[in-house]
Order: sequence, then structure tokens, then C-alpha cells
Amino acid sequence: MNCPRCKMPMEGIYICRHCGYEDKVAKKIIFASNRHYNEGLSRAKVRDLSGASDSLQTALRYNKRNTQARNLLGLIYYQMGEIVPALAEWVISLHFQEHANPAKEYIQTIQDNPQELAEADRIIQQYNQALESLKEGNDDMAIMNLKKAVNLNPNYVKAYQLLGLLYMRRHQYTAARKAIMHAVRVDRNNITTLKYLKELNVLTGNESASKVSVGDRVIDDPVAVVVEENSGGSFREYNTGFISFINVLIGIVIGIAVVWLLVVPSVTAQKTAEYNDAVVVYSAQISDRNKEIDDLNNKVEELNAKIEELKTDAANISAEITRNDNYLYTSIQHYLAGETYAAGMSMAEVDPELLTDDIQKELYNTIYRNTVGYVLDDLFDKGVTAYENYEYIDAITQFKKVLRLDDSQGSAVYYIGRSYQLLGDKVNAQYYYEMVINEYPNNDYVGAAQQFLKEMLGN
Amino acid sequence: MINFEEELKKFQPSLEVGQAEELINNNDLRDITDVIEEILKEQKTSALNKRI
Repeated sequence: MNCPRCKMPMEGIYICRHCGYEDKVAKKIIFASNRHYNEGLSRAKVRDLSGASDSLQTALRYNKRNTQARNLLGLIYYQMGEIVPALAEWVISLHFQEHANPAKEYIQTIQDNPQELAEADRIIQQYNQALESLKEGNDDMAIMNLKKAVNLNPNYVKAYQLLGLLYMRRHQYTAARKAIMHAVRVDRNNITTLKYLKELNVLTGNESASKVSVGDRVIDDPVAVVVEENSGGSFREYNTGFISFINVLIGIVIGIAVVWLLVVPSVTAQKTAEYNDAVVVYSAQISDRNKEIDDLNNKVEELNAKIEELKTDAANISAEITRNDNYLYTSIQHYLAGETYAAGMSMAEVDPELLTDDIQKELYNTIYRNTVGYVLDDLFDKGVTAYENYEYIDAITQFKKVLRLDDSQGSAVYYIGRSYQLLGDKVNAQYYYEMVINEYPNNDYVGAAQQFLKEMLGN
Repeated sequence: MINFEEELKKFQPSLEVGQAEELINNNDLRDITDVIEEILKEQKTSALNKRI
């Protein structure tokens, strides 16, 4: 139809896309078509396929471009085992609406399964063959073909109806009821099926078979949905709130069970892994700490040993200072008593480096100046005598006294080194030989010191 | 009481897949809009005829 105002085509719409004119007649027609489509959809949802088919056909008589109605009609035909009318509706649907049309998918699905299509065709042929057999008066063959057809397609309503009718004619009422009830289950409000069922009930004297008693009322519906009554005569109103609560409770219990079975082991495994990792990390840290503690303990022990050593050194120094002071005081006493030689010999025992007091140093210097000349040569001679008598320890003692009084005595240094060598103390021997060589280069014993050092190191 | 012979006659052969094209081509696709258009067209034609 064209727009009454601008004459532009208006197909399946009631507002002109060109001029915006609203065609009230077209609007009513489209709305009527949609209303029948909705009715057909509602019937299809409760498996009233014949009723749905009627509504959808009406919808299409109002508006042939109602694609949804045509597609649904195709699906209903398909469901009832009528594949060719179904395909026809979908092809026409695509003709009117090429894009965004699910009919394309339906056709594609069938085309993608040629075996299934061939099978559907074979079922139809079985049904048609049954009709041919009936014309020839061969009921047995017809029943056999129909049985094959419904076995291959349990939704083939027409085949069930015909089968039921043939059984009724042969007075095989049980088989007839079975076939008809199959048809009812597929299409619950099919007039033909219900008519056969009613006839069957009459023939079997079982008119109440398809009736369901609901209290004092009787519903003539073989597949009626029955609402249970309570003893008070009114319909029981289920406590939906309570049922919802129970459902929620069951859901929670199932949820907890699922969590317990699926999530908890996973979490536990993860926690265990984390725990093990933490144990490894902490073990490593503890090991490091223990090592640090051991190191610190060793340091403490070392420091304690050093403290003890220093204490011992301090005690030794203290004893040495005391001994040194005693020799100084003895020397002073001898000097004051006029015993110059004895004072000098005592002075030879005093180490001036250990004198801490200025008065001591002054007294030492005074006595030293006045006594050194009396004892130095004598001490040297004593050292030589002891050396020559192989008394090397005594020789070392005497020569050290000489050096304490006069550190310019390079020969005394040589004798000390030689005495140590002869005692087998190579370390001290080397020390004193090198002292002679380096600090007393003009001394007569430098050559000898070099010679002995060379021999000693060469050995 | 059902007349079985009459009832059996109502069952017609189903269309086979090979006849799908025939079904589509022979489908009467007229809807109410087409019918209205036809009526309007007829009215227009008869009005013209009357004038002639």
C-alpha cells in the first residue's frame, strides 16, 4: 500500500518514512496482526500447537509481512513433523525480510544436515505410502508404514491421528488410545485428536477417561493441569515467602557445600604452600641469625682473649716498670753511698724508656753520666767472656746491658746476634745481624754479620 | 459416532521435500491490505465505468 499523502510505498509500517503520515487503517491492521501473533506465541508456549497455528495464520492474513509470526508458524509446522510447510514459511519470511531474520539460520541448519533432511523426507514418504495402502485396502501395510513414521518422528501428529483412527476401526482400542495420547502430548488442543479421543472413550464406554475431577467439577481435558485443593474447599495458597526462604536456605547450603568441596581444598593447599614457603624463609633467616650469633660469639671470645692478653701485658709492663724502678732506686742508693761501680751496674739494668716520671729521668741522667764510664767496658768484657765460654744466654744478657747504657755499641749487637744463632734462634739472630748491617754500617763486625746471615738464610 | 471412511478421506498426503518449491509458488500471500487495495481498485474501476 502507498502513503495516501505522498504516494510513497508503505509496506509493513503505518507511519510513512517519507512524509511521516500516520495511516490509521494500516496501524489497526498491524496491531491486529501483532495481537494474533502474541496469542499464537502464548498458545505455543503451552503446547497448543494447533491453536497457535490458527492464531499465527490469522496474524499473517492481517499482515503477510509479520516475520515473527511467519517464523513461529514455521517452527510449529516443524515441531508437528511438517517439514515442507515449515521450510516454505521460512523461505517466504526471508523473501519479505532478508536481513536480521532468524529464518535464515533455520534454513541453513536444515541445509547443513542433508542426511537429516533426507530422513525427514523418508518419514513423509512413509506416511504418504500409508495413505496409498489405505486406498488399496491394505490396512496392515498402512499401519506398518505409520508405525515406522512415528518411530522416526515422535512428533508427527498427523501420523498418530491416522494410526489411532485405523486402530479404532479395527477395534484395537488400547493401541488406538496410545497413538492418540501421543498426538495429544505433542499438540494438546488439536480438534481432530480430541474428537478421536472422545470417540474412543465412547467406543470403550470410558467417557470419564479424559475427564479430570476437581472437587465437584469435572474438566474434559486429558492433559489437564490440576491444582490441588485443601480440605476447606478453596484452593490452597502456598506460602511462597516460606518456600522462597526454604529455597534460599537450600541454595546457601549447596553453596557452602560447593565452597567446602571445591574452594576450601584449593585455599588450604594455597595456605599450606604459603606456610611452607614462610617456613623456608624463616628457616633461612634463623640460619643466618644463628651464623651471625656464632660470629659474634667468636668475636666476643677473641675480644675476651685480647682483653686477657692486654691484661697480661699490662701486668707484665707493670711488673717491668716496678722492676725498672727498683733498679733505679738501688742505683740511687749505691750512688748516694758512694758506691759508683755498684750504682753503674744497677743502672745497666734500668731501661730509660720505662721511666715515666721526670724526676726519675733526671736522677737517671745524673747517675748515668757519673757511672757509665766505670761499668761499660767491664760489662762488654763480661759478655765476651761468657760468649767465649759458650755461655750464650749470659753473653746476651751482658751485651744487652751494654746497649742499654750505650746504644752506639754495634759490636754488642753483633755478639747478641751471633749468640742467638749459636743457640739456634734464627729469628732473633737475623734481627740483630740486620741491625748491625743497617744501623752500624761502619762497625768492624758488619762483614761477619753479613757472612753469617748469608750462611744462615742459605741453610 | 465417527464415519471412519469419511474421516479417512480427510487425510491428505504430506508434501515431500521436492514439492517445497511448488508450495511456495502456489502460496496465497494476500493479506488484508491487499484485499482492501483490490476492493478500492474495483470501486475505482466501477466508478470510471459508470462515468463512461
